Amino acid sequence: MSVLPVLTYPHPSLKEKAPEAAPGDPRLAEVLRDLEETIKAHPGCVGLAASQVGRNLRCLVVDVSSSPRAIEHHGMLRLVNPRVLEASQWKASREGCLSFPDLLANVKRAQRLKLAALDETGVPVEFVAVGFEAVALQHEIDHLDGILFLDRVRSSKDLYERRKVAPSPL
Amino acid sequence: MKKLVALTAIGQDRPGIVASLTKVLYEKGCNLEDSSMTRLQGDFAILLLIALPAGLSAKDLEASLKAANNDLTLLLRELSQTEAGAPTDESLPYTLMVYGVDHPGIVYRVAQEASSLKVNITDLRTHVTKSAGNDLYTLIMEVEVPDAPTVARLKDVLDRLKKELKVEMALNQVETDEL
Repeated sequence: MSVLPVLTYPHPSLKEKAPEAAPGDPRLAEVLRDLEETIKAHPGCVGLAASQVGRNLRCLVVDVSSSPRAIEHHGMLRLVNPRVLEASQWKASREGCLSFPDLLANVKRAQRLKLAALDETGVPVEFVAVGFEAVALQHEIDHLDGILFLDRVRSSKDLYERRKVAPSPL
Repeated sequence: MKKLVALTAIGQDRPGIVASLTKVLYEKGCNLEDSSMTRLQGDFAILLLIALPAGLSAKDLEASLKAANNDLTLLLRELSQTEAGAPTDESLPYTLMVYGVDHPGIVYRVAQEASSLKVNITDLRTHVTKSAGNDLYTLIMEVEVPDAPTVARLKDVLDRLKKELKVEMALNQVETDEL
């Protein structure tokens, strides 16, 4: 296991769409373990997508359990080929991103999300995430599509420099 | 008819600028019709639309404001009756986000293309932050697009501009939540 360097913009990998991973792909287990190590090495970080560490695979990890913003959660989620089945209860909240260390933005996300994915052993799973966990999952799934949180900012008042406001990294 | 003046002021930031400026306005019986104030690095910038009470001239107000705020660079201009009042056209509100490695000309090129399509910029902010050892430039502006065909043309122009300027762009329609 190793802590991987997190790519920051303008690294071209961040704008690429990650291809579906084959369930038996031998790289998956290692990438998921490394992602997990890497978020643990960044206090306050609640999720990372493979695209952020330069691995062109459709997988992510999210763990919001240490965040005071998380009311309900599933602990450490390791997801392969995640797909949003239903999204509802849209609300804007402030996000940060390790790939843009100095910026924060208000982004509108679904507060209730029904997802389908494979777990780290290749078994299909379906579950509902709510609140901050749902927000974090949408942020990371966006990364797998090459969509960055700045692409979703809807007002000039919704972008902030981190040094001028309180931190809250995703 | 309300007599309106536009005021712009900028000066080195310190506590008390807003208080000393609005004290004069309050004592003179003025009303703040619209305002935007912000800190730009070490300077504080003020934009105000002020309704004057009967019997107060823009010149008199300017003299009083300058006397009480001699560390601000201050400018006052009386609005004509045709300028006064919010626009009521049917244009489409959009937000345009532009981000990329900083280089001269980003704002100019985007604004120039917007202007040639009669797209009106109503709010604009920029940020320079660090990212991967580069200066990351973010430009976010709110625009009014005259009509749907122009939205399509704007998208084409921005696709071209994105490559020219080596930046990312996101054009999003402003959503209004009716609660």
